[in-house]
Amino acid sequence: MRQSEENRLGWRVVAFHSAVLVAFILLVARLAYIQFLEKESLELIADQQYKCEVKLSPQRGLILDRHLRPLAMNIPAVSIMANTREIADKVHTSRVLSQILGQPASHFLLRLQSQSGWVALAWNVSPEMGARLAKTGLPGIQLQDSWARSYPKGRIGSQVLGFVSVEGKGLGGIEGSCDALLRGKPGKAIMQKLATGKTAQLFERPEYPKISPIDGSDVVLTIDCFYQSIVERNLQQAIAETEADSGAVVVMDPFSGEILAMASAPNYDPNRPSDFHPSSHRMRAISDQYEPGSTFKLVLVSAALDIDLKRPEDEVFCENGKFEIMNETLHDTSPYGRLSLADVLAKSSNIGAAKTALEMDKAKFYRYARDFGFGVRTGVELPGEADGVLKPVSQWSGYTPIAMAIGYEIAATPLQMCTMLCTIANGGLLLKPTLVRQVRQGEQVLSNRAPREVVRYVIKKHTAMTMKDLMQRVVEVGTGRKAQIPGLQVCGKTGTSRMVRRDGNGYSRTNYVSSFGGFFPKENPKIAIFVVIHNPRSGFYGGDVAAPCFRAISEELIYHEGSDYFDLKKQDVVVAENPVPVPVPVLIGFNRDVARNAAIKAGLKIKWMGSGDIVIEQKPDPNTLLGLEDEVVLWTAEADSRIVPNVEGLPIRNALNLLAANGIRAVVDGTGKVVKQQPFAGHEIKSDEQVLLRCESSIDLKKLIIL
Amino acid sequence: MKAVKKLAHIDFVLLVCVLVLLIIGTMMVYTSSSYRAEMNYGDSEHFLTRQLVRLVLGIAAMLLFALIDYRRWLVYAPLFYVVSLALLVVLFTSMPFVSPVHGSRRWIQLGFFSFQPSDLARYALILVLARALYSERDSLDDFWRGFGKMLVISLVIIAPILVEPDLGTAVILLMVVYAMFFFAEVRITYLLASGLTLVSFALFFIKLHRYQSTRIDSWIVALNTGQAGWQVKQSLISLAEGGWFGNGLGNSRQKYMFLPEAHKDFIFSIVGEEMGFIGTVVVLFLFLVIIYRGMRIAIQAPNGYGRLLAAGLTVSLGLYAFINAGVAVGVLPTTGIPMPFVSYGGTALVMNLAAIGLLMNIALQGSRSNANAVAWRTYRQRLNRPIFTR
Repeated sequence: MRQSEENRLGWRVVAFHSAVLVAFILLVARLAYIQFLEKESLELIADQQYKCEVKLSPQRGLILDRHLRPLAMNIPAVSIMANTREIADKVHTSRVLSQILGQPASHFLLRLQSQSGWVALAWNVSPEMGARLAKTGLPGIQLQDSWARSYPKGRIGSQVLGFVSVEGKGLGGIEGSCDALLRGKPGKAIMQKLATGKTAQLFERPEYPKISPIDGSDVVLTIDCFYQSIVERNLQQAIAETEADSGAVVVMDPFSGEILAMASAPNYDPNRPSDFHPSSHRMRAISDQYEPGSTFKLVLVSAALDIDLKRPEDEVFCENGKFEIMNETLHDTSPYGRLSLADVLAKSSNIGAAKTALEMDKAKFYRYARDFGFGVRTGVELPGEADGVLKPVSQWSGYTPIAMAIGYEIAATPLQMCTMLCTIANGGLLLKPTLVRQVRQGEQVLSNRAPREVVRYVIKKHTAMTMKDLMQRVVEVGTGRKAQIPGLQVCGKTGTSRMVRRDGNGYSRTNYVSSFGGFFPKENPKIAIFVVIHNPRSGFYGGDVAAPCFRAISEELIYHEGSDYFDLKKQDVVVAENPVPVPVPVLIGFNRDVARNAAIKAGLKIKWMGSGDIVIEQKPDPNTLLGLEDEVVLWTAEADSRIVPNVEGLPIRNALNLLAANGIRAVVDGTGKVVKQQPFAGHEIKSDEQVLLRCESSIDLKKLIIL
Repeated sequence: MKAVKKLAHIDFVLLVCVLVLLIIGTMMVYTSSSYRAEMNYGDSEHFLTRQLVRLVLGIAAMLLFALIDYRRWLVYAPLFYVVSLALLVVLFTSMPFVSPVHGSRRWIQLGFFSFQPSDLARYALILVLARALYSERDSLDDFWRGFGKMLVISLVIIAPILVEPDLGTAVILLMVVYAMFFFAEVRITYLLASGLTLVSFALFFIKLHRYQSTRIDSWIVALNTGQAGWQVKQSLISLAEGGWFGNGLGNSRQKYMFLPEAHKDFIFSIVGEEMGFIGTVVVLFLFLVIIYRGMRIAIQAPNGYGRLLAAGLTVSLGLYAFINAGVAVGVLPTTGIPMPFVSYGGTALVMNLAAIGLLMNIALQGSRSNANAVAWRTYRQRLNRPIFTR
């Protein structure tokens, strides 16, 4: 029967306790085995599943103009990805996407149905759109923060700048040629993975190695974006007025070889390059070689003077406008008898030039053309430069010297032409044209361009002086009269050449290329400008088509820089017919009507530049004394008051970029991230007001980073 | 006043062990669930706050049970048995608050809270068996009318749990039942004969249910080749990450969704990762002490009912803890059972604390201090009178 109550459990308890103890010891032994002996092999497996190497993208460097105004920068953007496996209702999803992103629903539906897994739906849309999309809470949609390349000046300088592909590769322009500099060095970090797999989320952990990315260097161009906008506007206008196909303008500093502005029309908006025809992406000033026509006579005359073959006053008989030689007939625009060499250039006599060329040694003519840089790329920092064509003497026919004298059988880019102008302007030095002035990393300058890069001596200084005199005559009494600027000694040369016929048989009788090249002031030239207009339909002479464009650009540049900059004789420009001088009122910051009333009240005329409603710049400066009925030039922009964006929490650099994109200047206090901004986001400020950014360097490692 | 006096004689070793486990458990529930909670509920303290509410309820239940004479529960044991059986049957109906989770019908969901009837059934069965085994102690040697009856009482309630299906709980319950048979001095031959029969039935059942069979297959494969399944592999990685002293509280990496059920069935692995070998051994040791104290309470119980009840409760708690740890270290197949006091889990926590309260009450009733108040011997004899009339 049962054991006594007192000794009830006895051996059973002992047995149970033994079993429990054995289980306990086994468990502890197993734990020790795992936690010590197997530790390393298991940790190896663990590392594989925890760690994920993540590429950290650097920020692309900025492209700045010579006064450090941003031409290309980065703004925060959002890319939209979708995991099609998590999207049940694809039709609904694509409809919502279409409502927010503005593209047709079918576009998204196609992508969602095309493949399973992750698909990219949109690249670099605005953060506001991203926020609206996030609010809808659609499943399977993921937003990735990214940086979008932004070109705050829009179309201005588009072909110089180029653009960036979705993957961040620079295409064309400076973006392409300086891609290696701008791109920066990507870093990498080992990050903690999460096992959900649903959305790729990673943690940053302090103990894991991290190589920070090195942001791209900033490239400072020689371009002055104000010049650039003046040039582009006038080029567009000239093309519209003459109903031309295209055109190009190069503006250079003759003494440094720096390209101050370089424009090509039609242009495009680098913010959305795919919306424009690929031909508009081309920088015609370097990629399109053409037969320069009469502007090339400058080379011939320079050579003739430099080898003392002719003096300016030596006369040539110009056959009264018709000259038959080697089965070809040369014509002048109007019949001339005997002309001095100076007049041959001024009146652009083809016959006079041809006869001069025939007198010259072929090898010498070739050498001068070569020395002026023809037939060789200038080496400017842009991709896609054309060589031009200059045939070696061995390939010349008997007619070649005649053709070359009037700018045929030779091809050059507008940039080569402008470099040639600079050579004459600066006293005979061929300079390498350049676009990149400086490379910097933040505030630190990494490399500076040499003040100028001399390729070679081309003509004697004396020859250059003579050439300037002759070119001044072209503008004053010759074919380039439409380029005259009152009070300024302008040197220039017109050019009109027939285009090669489409079928390749000889030259067209209806299609021309009109050009004008010039520089000013004559003594100490500050600026050389070369204008080419392709296939104008109303008028075709370089002097009628390109010269007015040259003049318009020059005038605006003079207004912009002030007459002192060009040693202009002041009374010539601002003729004080009224003895009582009028002080210019402050007009900046007012809207059109107010500014107009104020100017009329003061007795001044207004010349409007730009299309907006608010005056952002005026020339001359306030309180300058002007004569009655004199002109004040006012530049306008769309709106003056700016809304301060929210930059709190952004790294300084990004904050400054964002502010600059809105045309706001900022004062920075501290380093690191912006912790406080004043005024706050949404506040309205004037253009001359600044935003104060208080920054603190704090590394928030625990922060969840969503890639 | 009387209650406070009574509580002064409470089994403090047991209490301290349980409290330490609760503290470790609460910390672990928080660190292991915070990320999941943040992801799924947008509130990293989602599970913590719920656990704390249950903790308060559980401690209240523990004190309540410690103060109420355990015999009162024995009186109502058949009622609990019937109610829990009814609830288990309800699981198989298509009522709105019963919905299968991952294909098994284990939960009754009442909106604000949900519970597993098997938690209730476990304690109901222990109560019923403690009462029946002792009151029918003289007929236990009769295989069919004595022992067989007890086995049928147990299997009637285990069967629906098995069919839910919840093999892990069913097996543990069966082990608890056999342990109680063992302590009720049932013949060892009976235990072996019936046990072997049940095991062969169990194997047959496992073959029928692919779900269980794959789990066990993967366990067998893992044991033979060292190639553990995903959950076990993650659990082992957690433990290995810990080393001697662990990565420190809150520094688990496995909890970022690598380790499934990190705050429930695999919380022991997170203990190992954050508190290291020391932490895991301390947890196991605390359970060892609880088992030892529980058995001591059983030995010192004032009567046979208390003895069997205490032994049943102790075995139940100990088995849950050790089997959970065994799963976590990869020596047992994944059963899906939580670790008492440590894992997140509402009803289980309250029930387990109530069980501790029950043990404490048995300890109080059997302790010398209590006995001294009422004349020890007479009290003993009075207690040993059968309280249920057959």
